[in-house]
Amino acid sequence: MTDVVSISVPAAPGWTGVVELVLAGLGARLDLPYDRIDELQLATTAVLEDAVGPDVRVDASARADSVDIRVGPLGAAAADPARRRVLDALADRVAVEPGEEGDTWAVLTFARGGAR
Amino acid sequence: MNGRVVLEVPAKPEYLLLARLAVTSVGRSAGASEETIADLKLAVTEAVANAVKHAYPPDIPGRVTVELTASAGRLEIAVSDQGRGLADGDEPTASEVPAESGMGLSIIRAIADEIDVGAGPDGRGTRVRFACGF
Amino acid sequence: MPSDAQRALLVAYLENGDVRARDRLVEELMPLVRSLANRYAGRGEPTEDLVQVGAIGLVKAIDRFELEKGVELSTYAVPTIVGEIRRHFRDRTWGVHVPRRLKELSMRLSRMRDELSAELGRSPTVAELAEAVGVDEEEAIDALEASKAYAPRSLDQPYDDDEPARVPGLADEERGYAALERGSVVRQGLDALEERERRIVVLRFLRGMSQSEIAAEVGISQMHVSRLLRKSLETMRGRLEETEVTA
Repeated sequence: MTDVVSISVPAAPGWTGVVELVLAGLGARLDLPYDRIDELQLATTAVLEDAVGPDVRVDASARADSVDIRVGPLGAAAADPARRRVLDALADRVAVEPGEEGDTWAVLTFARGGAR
Repeated sequence: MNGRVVLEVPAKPEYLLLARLAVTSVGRSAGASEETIADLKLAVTEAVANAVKHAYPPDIPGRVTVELTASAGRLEIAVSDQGRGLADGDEPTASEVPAESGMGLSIIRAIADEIDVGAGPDGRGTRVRFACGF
Repeated sequence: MPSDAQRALLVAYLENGDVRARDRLVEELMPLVRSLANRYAGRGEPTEDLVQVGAIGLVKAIDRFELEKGVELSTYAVPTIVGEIRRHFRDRTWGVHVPRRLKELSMRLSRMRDELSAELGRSPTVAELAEAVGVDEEEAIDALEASKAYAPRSLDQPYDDDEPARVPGLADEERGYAALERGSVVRQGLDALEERERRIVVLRFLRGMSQSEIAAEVGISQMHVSRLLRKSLETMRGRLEETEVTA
Protein backbone atom coordinates (compact mmCIF):
# COMPACT_ATOMS: atom_id res chain seq x y z
CA MET A 1 0.00 0.00 0.00
CA THR A 2 1.20 3.46 -0.80
CA ASP A 3 1.70 5.76 2.13
CA VAL A 4 1.07 9.41 1.41
CA VAL A 5 2.43 12.25 3.50
CA SER A 6 0.99 15.70 2.81
CA ILE A 7 2.19 19.02 4.02
CA SER A 8 0.63 22.36 3.27
CA VAL A 9 2.43 25.64 4.00
CA PRO A 10 1.99 29.32 3.13
CA ALA A 11 3.44 30.04 -0.30
CA ALA A 12 6.15 32.36 1.04
CA PRO A 13 9.95 31.96 1.20
CA GLY A 14 10.38 31.35 4.93
CA TRP A 15 8.28 28.20 4.95
CA THR A 16 10.38 25.91 2.79
CA GLY A 17 12.37 24.89 5.87
CA VAL A 18 9.52 22.93 7.41
CA VAL A 19 8.89 21.15 4.10
CA GLU A 20 12.57 20.23 3.88
CA LEU A 21 12.69 18.95 7.43
CA VAL A 22 9.57 16.83 6.97
CA LEU A 23 10.96 15.45 3.70
CA ALA A 24 14.17 14.58 5.54
CA GLY A 25 12.07 12.66 8.06
CA LEU A 26 10.28 10.82 5.29
CA GLY A 27 13.58 10.08 3.56
CA ALA A 28 14.93 8.68 6.82
CA ARG A 29 11.91 6.39 7.17
CA LEU A 30 12.40 5.20 3.60
CA ASP A 31 16.10 4.51 4.20
CA LEU A 32 17.12 6.78 1.35
CA PRO A 33 20.85 7.53 1.12
CA TYR A 34 21.38 11.02 2.44
CA ASP A 35 22.51 12.57 -0.82
CA ARG A 36 19.27 11.40 -2.38
CA ILE A 37 17.34 13.09 0.40
CA ASP A 38 19.31 16.24 -0.25
CA GLU A 39 18.36 16.28 -3.91
CA LEU A 40 14.75 15.46 -3.21
CA GLN A 41 14.70 18.50 -0.95
CA LEU A 42 16.48 20.67 -3.51
CA ALA A 43 14.11 19.77 -6.31
CA THR A 44 11.03 20.26 -4.14
CA THR A 45 12.27 23.62 -2.88
CA ALA A 46 12.89 24.67 -6.47
CA VAL A 47 9.32 23.81 -7.44
CA LEU A 48 7.92 25.55 -4.35
CA GLU A 49 9.22 28.83 -5.75
CA ASP A 50 6.60 28.64 -8.48
CA ALA A 51 3.70 28.39 -6.04
CA VAL A 52 0.99 30.96 -6.55
CA GLY A 53 -0.50 30.81 -3.08
CA PRO A 54 -1.91 31.57 -0.70
CA ASP A 55 -0.83 28.06 0.32
CA VAL A 56 1.05 25.31 -1.42
CA ARG A 57 0.80 21.60 -0.83
CA VAL A 58 3.41 18.87 -1.15
CA ASP A 59 2.13 15.28 -1.39
CA ALA A 60 4.81 12.63 -1.06
CA SER A 61 3.87 9.08 -2.04
CA ALA A 62 6.24 6.30 -1.19
CA ARG A 63 6.02 3.33 -3.53
CA ALA A 64 8.15 0.22 -3.59
CA ASP A 65 10.62 1.56 -6.14
CA SER A 66 10.16 5.29 -6.10
CA VAL A 67 9.00 8.37 -4.28
CA ASP A 68 6.60 10.71 -6.05
CA ILE A 69 6.49 14.31 -4.91
CA ARG A 70 3.50 16.26 -6.13
CA VAL A 71 3.53 20.03 -5.59
CA GLY A 72 0.85 22.62 -6.28
CA PRO A 73 -0.93 24.74 -7.08
CA LEU A 74 1.73 26.38 -9.22
CA GLY A 75 1.75 29.22 -11.67
CA ALA A 76 2.26 28.85 -15.40
CA ALA A 77 5.99 29.43 -14.95
CA ALA A 78 6.31 25.92 -13.66
CA ALA A 79 5.90 24.54 -17.16
CA ASP A 80 8.69 26.71 -18.54
CA PRO A 81 11.36 24.55 -20.25
CA ALA A 82 14.28 26.33 -18.57
CA ARG A 83 12.91 25.50 -15.16
CA ARG A 84 12.18 21.97 -16.23
CA ARG A 85 15.79 21.53 -17.25
CA VAL A 86 17.09 22.24 -13.76
CA LEU A 87 14.53 19.86 -12.25
CA ASP A 88 15.26 17.17 -14.83
CA ALA A 89 18.81 17.15 -13.57
CA LEU A 90 17.73 16.37 -10.02
CA ALA A 91 14.73 14.09 -10.33
CA ASP A 92 14.42 10.92 -12.35
CA ARG A 93 11.21 12.12 -13.92
CA VAL A 94 9.44 15.45 -13.99
CA ALA A 95 5.85 15.89 -15.09
CA VAL A 96 3.76 19.01 -15.08
CA GLU A 97 0.05 18.37 -15.10
CA PRO A 98 -3.17 20.31 -14.69
CA GLY A 99 -4.93 20.09 -11.35
CA GLU A 100 -8.63 19.85 -10.62
CA GLU A 101 -9.21 23.58 -10.52
CA GLY A 102 -7.40 24.56 -13.69
CA ASP A 103 -4.16 25.12 -11.82
CA THR A 104 -0.79 23.49 -12.43
CA TRP A 105 0.92 20.78 -10.43
CA ALA A 106 4.39 19.31 -10.78
CA VAL A 107 5.18 15.67 -10.08
CA LEU A 108 8.78 14.72 -9.38
CA THR A 109 9.72 11.06 -9.27
CA PHE A 110 12.82 9.78 -7.46
CA ALA A 111 13.87 6.17 -7.81
CA ARG A 112 14.64 4.49 -4.51
CA GLY A 113 17.28 1.77 -4.71
CA GLY A 114 20.56 2.29 -2.88
CA ALA A 115 20.36 1.27 0.76
CA ARG A 116 17.74 -1.42 0.38
CA MET B 1 6.51 34.39 11.33
CA ASN B 2 2.77 33.94 11.35
CA GLY B 3 1.15 31.21 9.37
CA ARG B 4 -0.39 27.79 9.36
CA VAL B 5 1.12 24.46 8.44
CA VAL B 6 -0.99 21.35 7.98
CA LEU B 7 0.70 17.96 8.02
CA GLU B 8 -1.24 14.82 7.23
CA VAL B 9 0.27 11.39 7.69
CA PRO B 10 -0.84 7.76 7.86
CA ALA B 11 -1.85 6.77 11.41
CA LYS B 12 1.27 4.66 11.87
CA PRO B 13 3.92 5.06 14.58
CA GLU B 14 6.79 5.59 12.16
CA TYR B 15 5.31 8.89 11.04
CA LEU B 16 5.37 10.46 14.47
CA LEU B 17 8.90 11.59 13.63
CA LEU B 18 7.51 13.89 10.93
CA ALA B 19 5.11 15.57 13.33
CA ARG B 20 7.93 16.23 15.78
CA LEU B 21 10.14 17.64 13.03
CA ALA B 22 7.33 19.94 11.92
CA VAL B 23 6.99 21.25 15.48
CA THR B 24 10.74 21.88 15.68
CA SER B 25 10.77 23.81 12.44
CA VAL B 26 7.68 25.91 13.04
CA GLY B 27 8.63 26.47 16.67
CA ARG B 28 12.07 27.77 15.77
CA SER B 29 10.73 30.04 13.03
CA ALA B 30 8.24 31.45 15.49
CA GLY B 31 11.04 32.19 17.93
CA ALA B 32 10.04 29.75 20.66
CA SER B 33 12.72 28.69 23.15
CA GLU B 34 14.16 25.20 22.88
CA GLU B 35 12.41 24.35 26.11
CA THR B 36 9.01 25.32 24.74
CA ILE B 37 9.76 23.39 21.57
CA ALA B 38 10.68 20.30 23.60
CA ASP B 39 7.43 20.61 25.54
CA LEU B 40 5.39 20.98 22.39
CA LYS B 41 7.14 18.00 20.83
CA LEU B 42 6.22 15.92 23.85
CA ALA B 43 2.63 17.10 23.71
CA VAL B 44 2.35 16.39 20.00
CA THR B 45 3.91 12.97 20.58
CA GLU B 46 1.20 12.18 23.11
CA ALA B 47 -1.60 13.39 20.88
CA VAL B 48 -0.38 11.65 17.73
CA ALA B 49 0.46 8.43 19.60
CA ASN B 50 -3.09 8.40 20.94
CA ALA B 51 -4.52 8.72 17.47
CA VAL B 52 -2.21 6.03 16.11
CA LYS B 53 -3.15 3.63 18.89
CA HIS B 54 -6.83 4.26 19.37
CA ALA B 55 -8.47 6.08 16.51
CA TYR B 56 -8.75 3.36 13.92
CA PRO B 57 -9.37 -0.39 13.96
CA PRO B 58 -6.16 -2.35 13.32
CA ASP B 59 -6.64 -3.03 9.65
CA ILE B 60 -8.15 0.27 8.59
CA PRO B 61 -5.71 2.72 7.06
CA GLY B 62 -6.46 5.97 8.82
CA ARG B 63 -4.79 9.34 8.76
CA VAL B 64 -3.76 11.84 11.37
CA THR B 65 -3.75 15.58 10.76
CA VAL B 66 -1.47 17.94 12.64
CA GLU B 67 -2.15 21.64 12.24
CA LEU B 68 0.42 24.11 13.51
CA THR B 69 -0.50 27.77 13.75
CA ALA B 70 2.15 30.27 14.65
CA SER B 71 1.31 33.78 15.74
CA ALA B 72 3.15 36.37 17.77
CA GLY B 73 4.40 34.65 20.91
CA ARG B 74 2.07 31.69 20.54
CA LEU B 75 2.07 28.32 18.86
CA GLU B 76 -1.14 26.36 18.59
CA ILE B 77 -1.27 22.72 17.58
CA ALA B 78 -4.32 20.66 16.74
CA VAL B 79 -4.11 16.91 16.22
CA SER B 80 -7.15 15.30 14.68
CA ASP B 81 -8.23 11.98 13.28
CA GLN B 82 -11.30 10.73 11.46
CA GLY B 83 -11.78 7.61 13.50
CA ARG B 84 -13.88 6.61 16.44
CA GLY B 85 -14.21 9.41 18.90
CA LEU B 86 -13.03 9.45 22.50
CA ALA B 87 -14.97 6.81 24.37
CA ASP B 88 -16.26 7.47 27.86
CA GLY B 89 -13.55 6.84 30.35
CA ASP B 90 -10.65 7.96 28.24
CA GLU B 91 -10.09 10.61 30.84
CA PRO B 92 -7.83 9.25 33.62
CA THR B 93 -9.50 6.29 35.34
CA ALA B 94 -9.26 4.71 38.75
CA SER B 95 -6.20 2.56 38.07
CA GLU B 96 -2.61 2.90 39.20
CA VAL B 97 -1.37 3.86 35.76
CA PRO B 98 -4.07 5.69 33.82
CA ALA B 99 -5.20 4.34 30.48
CA GLU B 100 -2.73 5.41 27.82
CA SER B 101 -4.92 8.04 26.22
CA GLY B 102 -5.87 9.40 29.61
CA MET B 103 -2.24 9.77 30.61
CA GLY B 104 -1.46 11.35 27.29
CA LEU B 105 -4.06 14.03 27.90
CA SER B 106 -2.81 14.54 31.47
CA ILE B 107 0.66 15.18 30.12
CA ILE B 108 -0.58 17.65 27.56
CA ARG B 109 -2.57 19.38 30.27
CA ALA B 110 0.57 19.58 32.40
CA ILE B 111 2.53 21.17 29.59
CA ALA B 112 0.27 23.43 27.58
CA ASP B 113 -1.25 26.75 28.51
CA GLU B 114 -4.54 25.77 26.96
CA ILE B 115 -6.05 22.51 25.85
CA ASP B 116 -9.36 21.45 24.47
CA VAL B 117 -10.51 18.06 23.37
CA GLY B 118 -13.54 17.33 21.29
CA ALA B 119 -14.90 15.90 18.11
CA GLY B 120 -13.05 16.42 14.83
CA PRO B 121 -13.85 19.22 12.40
CA ASP B 122 -16.86 17.52 10.82
CA GLY B 123 -18.19 15.98 14.00
CA ARG B 124 -16.36 12.70 13.50
CA GLY B 125 -13.23 11.45 15.17
CA THR B 126 -11.26 13.38 17.74
CA ARG B 127 -9.46 16.70 17.84
CA VAL B 128 -6.99 17.62 20.55
CA ARG B 129 -5.99 21.26 20.42
CA PHE B 130 -3.37 22.83 22.66
CA ALA B 131 -1.26 25.94 22.69
CA CYS B 132 1.83 27.36 24.33
CA GLY B 133 2.73 30.98 24.68
CA PHE B 134 6.38 32.00 24.83
CA MET C 1 -11.21 8.01 43.56
CA PRO C 2 -8.22 6.33 45.15
CA SER C 3 -8.79 2.65 45.86
CA ASP C 4 -9.47 1.65 49.45
CA ALA C 5 -5.97 0.32 49.95
CA GLN C 6 -4.42 3.46 48.54
CA ARG C 7 -6.75 5.58 50.60
CA ALA C 8 -5.62 3.82 53.75
CA LEU C 9 -1.97 4.49 52.91
CA LEU C 10 -2.69 8.12 52.14
CA VAL C 11 -4.51 8.62 55.42
CA ALA C 12 -1.68 6.91 57.28
CA TYR C 13 0.85 9.25 55.76
CA LEU C 14 -1.00 12.53 55.40
CA GLU C 15 -2.79 12.43 58.73
CA ASN C 16 -0.51 10.31 60.86
CA GLY C 17 2.91 10.98 59.34
CA ASP C 18 3.54 7.29 58.63
CA VAL C 19 6.53 7.48 56.27
CA ARG C 20 6.44 3.77 55.53
CA ALA C 21 2.97 4.23 54.11
CA ARG C 22 4.33 6.94 51.85
CA ASP C 23 7.14 4.66 50.71
CA ARG C 24 4.55 2.00 49.84
CA LEU C 25 2.65 4.55 47.80
CA VAL C 26 5.79 5.58 45.95
CA GLU C 27 6.56 1.94 45.22
CA GLU C 28 3.07 1.41 43.83
CA LEU C 29 3.29 4.40 41.52
CA MET C 30 6.83 3.89 40.27
CA PRO C 31 5.52 2.35 37.03
CA LEU C 32 3.87 5.70 36.34
CA VAL C 33 7.16 7.51 37.02
CA ARG C 34 9.06 5.14 34.74
CA SER C 35 6.50 5.52 32.04
CA LEU C 36 6.78 9.30 32.14
CA ALA C 37 10.58 9.22 32.33
CA ASN C 38 10.69 7.00 29.27
CA ARG C 39 8.87 9.61 27.27
CA TYR C 40 11.83 11.88 27.79
CA ALA C 41 14.41 9.21 27.12
CA GLY C 42 17.08 9.54 24.47
CA ARG C 43 17.55 13.28 24.85
CA GLY C 44 21.05 13.20 26.27
CA GLU C 45 20.09 12.47 29.87
CA PRO C 46 20.30 8.92 31.28
CA THR C 47 16.83 7.49 31.83
CA GLU C 48 17.70 6.38 35.37
CA ASP C 49 18.43 9.99 36.30
CA LEU C 50 15.05 10.97 34.93
CA VAL C 51 13.36 8.21 36.92
CA GLN C 52 14.99 9.46 40.12
CA VAL C 53 14.02 13.02 39.38
CA GLY C 54 10.49 11.88 38.56
CA ALA C 55 10.30 10.01 41.85
CA ILE C 56 11.04 13.26 43.65
CA GLY C 57 8.09 14.75 41.82
CA LEU C 58 5.94 11.85 42.93
CA VAL C 59 6.90 12.35 46.57
CA LYS C 60 6.07 16.04 46.29
CA ALA C 61 2.70 15.21 44.78
CA ILE C 62 1.92 12.75 47.57
CA ASP C 63 2.90 15.37 50.15
CA ARG C 64 0.51 17.86 48.65
CA PHE C 65 -2.35 15.48 47.94
CA GLU C 66 -5.75 16.31 49.38
CA LEU C 67 -8.01 13.34 49.96
CA GLU C 68 -11.20 15.37 50.06
CA LYS C 69 -10.79 16.60 46.51
CA GLY C 70 -11.76 13.22 45.12
CA VAL C 71 -9.06 13.19 42.48
CA GLU C 72 -7.13 10.07 41.57
CA LEU C 73 -3.57 10.19 42.95
CA SER C 74 -1.97 9.00 39.73
CA THR C 75 -3.73 11.74 37.75
CA TYR C 76 -2.79 14.35 40.30
CA ALA C 77 0.85 13.33 40.29
CA VAL C 78 1.43 13.54 36.53
CA PRO C 79 1.99 17.32 36.29
CA THR C 80 4.37 17.35 39.24
CA ILE C 81 6.39 14.41 37.96
CA VAL C 82 6.59 15.89 34.48
CA GLY C 83 7.46 19.27 35.97
CA GLU C 84 10.44 17.85 37.86
CA ILE C 85 11.72 16.09 34.76
CA ARG C 86 11.41 19.24 32.68
CA ARG C 87 13.18 21.27 35.31
CA HIS C 88 16.00 18.74 35.28
CA PHE C 89 16.44 19.29 31.56
CA ARG C 90 16.30 23.02 31.91
CA ASP C 91 19.07 22.91 34.50
CA ARG C 92 21.29 20.48 32.67
CA THR C 93 20.80 20.27 28.95
CA TRP C 94 18.98 23.29 27.63
CA GLY C 95 21.48 25.56 29.33
CA VAL C 96 24.02 24.74 26.63
CA HIS C 97 23.60 27.16 23.79
CA VAL C 98 21.63 25.16 21.25
CA PRO C 99 23.29 26.41 18.09
CA ARG C 100 26.68 25.37 19.48
CA ARG C 101 25.45 21.88 20.32
CA LEU C 102 23.88 21.47 16.92
CA LYS C 103 27.02 22.76 15.25
CA GLU C 104 29.21 20.22 17.03
CA LEU C 105 26.88 17.40 16.17
CA SER C 106 26.63 18.55 12.60
CA MET C 107 30.41 18.54 12.21
CA ARG C 108 30.60 15.01 13.62
CA LEU C 109 27.88 13.90 11.24
CA SER C 110 29.64 15.48 8.29
CA ARG C 111 32.84 13.58 9.02
CA MET C 112 30.91 10.37 9.59
CA ARG C 113 29.04 10.84 6.34
CA ASP C 114 32.29 10.81 4.40
CA GLU C 115 33.73 7.90 6.37
CA LEU C 116 30.63 5.80 5.87
CA SER C 117 30.45 6.64 2.18
CA ALA C 118 33.94 5.32 1.73
CA GLU C 119 32.98 2.11 3.56
CA LEU C 120 29.59 1.58 1.96
CA GLY C 121 30.29 2.83 -1.53
CA ARG C 122 27.27 5.10 -1.32
CA SER C 123 25.94 7.91 0.82
CA PRO C 124 24.75 6.58 4.21
CA THR C 125 21.13 6.65 5.33
CA VAL C 126 20.03 8.74 8.30
CA ALA C 127 19.71 5.57 10.38
CA GLU C 128 23.29 4.57 9.56
CA LEU C 129 24.58 8.06 10.36
CA ALA C 130 22.65 8.35 13.60
CA GLU C 131 23.82 4.97 14.83
CA ALA C 132 27.43 5.65 13.92
CA VAL C 133 27.44 8.94 15.78
CA GLY C 134 25.32 7.69 18.67
CA VAL C 135 22.30 9.98 18.51
CA ASP C 136 18.69 9.35 17.61
CA GLU C 137 17.44 9.87 14.07
CA GLU C 138 15.50 12.99 14.90
CA GLU C 139 18.55 14.74 16.33
CA ALA C 140 20.63 13.61 13.37
CA ILE C 141 18.11 15.02 10.91
CA ASP C 142 17.99 18.30 12.81
CA ALA C 143 21.77 18.66 12.79
CA LEU C 144 22.11 17.60 9.14
CA GLU C 145 19.56 20.23 8.14
CA ALA C 146 21.25 22.87 10.24
CA SER C 147 24.43 22.53 8.23
CA LYS C 148 22.81 23.53 4.96
CA ALA C 149 24.10 27.04 5.02
CA TYR C 150 22.32 28.34 1.97
CA ALA C 151 18.76 28.11 3.18
CA PRO C 152 17.24 30.18 6.00
CA ARG C 153 17.88 28.26 9.23
CA SER C 154 18.42 28.96 12.87
CA LEU C 155 22.17 28.82 12.17
CA ASP C 156 23.79 30.97 9.57
CA GLN C 157 27.43 30.09 9.43
CA PRO C 158 29.05 27.68 7.02
CA TYR C 159 31.16 25.17 8.91
CA ASP C 160 33.95 23.96 6.71
CA ASP C 161 36.05 27.08 6.91
CA ASP C 162 39.13 24.97 6.46
CA GLU C 163 37.94 23.35 3.24
CA PRO C 164 40.09 23.98 0.18
CA ALA C 165 38.93 27.00 -1.76
CA ARG C 166 39.88 25.49 -5.09
CA VAL C 167 38.34 22.33 -6.39
CA PRO C 168 40.86 20.26 -8.37
CA GLY C 169 39.88 20.20 -12.02
CA LEU C 170 39.42 17.17 -14.22
CA ALA C 171 40.02 17.05 -17.95
CA ASP C 172 36.81 15.13 -18.73
CA GLU C 173 34.51 17.62 -17.25
CA GLU C 174 36.21 20.50 -18.99
CA ARG C 175 35.41 18.77 -22.23
CA GLY C 176 31.84 18.14 -21.14
CA TYR C 177 31.39 21.80 -20.37
CA ALA C 178 32.98 22.90 -23.61
CA ALA C 179 30.67 20.56 -25.53
CA LEU C 180 27.61 22.50 -24.43
CA GLU C 181 26.26 24.83 -27.06
CA ARG C 182 27.41 28.31 -26.39
CA GLY C 183 23.98 29.82 -26.56
CA SER C 184 22.23 27.07 -24.65
CA VAL C 185 20.39 27.96 -21.53
CA VAL C 186 22.32 25.47 -19.45
CA ARG C 187 25.60 26.85 -20.67
CA GLN C 188 24.49 30.35 -19.81
CA GLY C 189 23.50 29.18 -16.38
CA LEU C 190 26.86 27.49 -15.89
CA ASP C 191 28.65 30.60 -17.05
CA ALA C 192 27.17 32.41 -14.10
CA LEU C 193 28.93 30.11 -11.66
CA GLU C 194 32.33 30.34 -10.13
CA GLU C 195 34.84 27.81 -11.33
CA ARG C 196 34.61 25.41 -8.42
CA GLU C 197 30.82 25.45 -8.45
CA ARG C 198 30.76 24.85 -12.17
CA ARG C 199 33.00 21.82 -11.85
CA ILE C 200 30.75 20.28 -9.22
CA VAL C 201 27.64 20.96 -11.30
CA VAL C 202 29.20 19.45 -14.40
CA LEU C 203 30.24 16.35 -12.49
CA ARG C 204 26.77 16.01 -11.06
CA PHE C 205 24.60 16.74 -14.04
CA LEU C 206 26.68 16.08 -17.12
CA ARG C 207 28.58 13.10 -15.81
CA GLY C 208 25.80 11.88 -13.54
CA MET C 209 28.00 11.31 -10.51
CA SER C 210 26.31 11.17 -7.12
CA GLN C 211 27.25 13.64 -4.41
CA SER C 212 29.18 11.00 -2.50
CA GLU C 213 31.09 10.01 -5.64
CA ILE C 214 31.95 13.62 -6.38
CA ALA C 215 33.15 14.14 -2.83
CA ALA C 216 35.37 11.09 -2.99
CA GLU C 217 36.79 11.97 -6.40
CA VAL C 218 37.38 15.62 -5.76
CA GLY C 219 38.55 15.25 -2.17
CA ILE C 220 36.10 17.49 -0.35
CA SER C 221 33.35 16.60 2.11
CA GLN C 222 29.87 15.64 0.97
CA MET C 223 28.52 18.50 2.99
CA HIS C 224 30.65 20.85 0.95
CA VAL C 225 29.45 19.26 -2.30
CA SER C 226 25.87 19.62 -1.11
CA ARG C 227 26.32 23.28 -0.23
CA LEU C 228 28.05 24.07 -3.51
CA LEU C 229 25.28 22.38 -5.44
CA ARG C 230 22.58 24.27 -3.58
CA LYS C 231 24.32 27.56 -4.11
CA SER C 232 24.93 26.77 -7.77
CA LEU C 233 21.32 25.90 -8.44
CA GLU C 234 20.19 29.13 -6.86
CA THR C 235 22.65 31.09 -8.96
CA MET C 236 21.72 29.22 -12.13
CA ARG C 237 18.04 29.72 -11.53
CA GLY C 238 18.62 33.41 -10.98
CA ARG C 239 20.58 33.63 -14.21
CA LEU C 240 17.95 31.71 -16.17
CA GLU C 241 15.29 34.09 -14.92
CA GLU C 242 17.34 37.08 -15.98
CA THR C 243 17.78 35.50 -19.39
CA GLU C 244 14.04 34.98 -19.74
CA VAL C 245 13.33 38.56 -18.83
CA THR C 246 15.76 39.97 -21.38
CA ALA C 247 14.85 37.48 -24.13
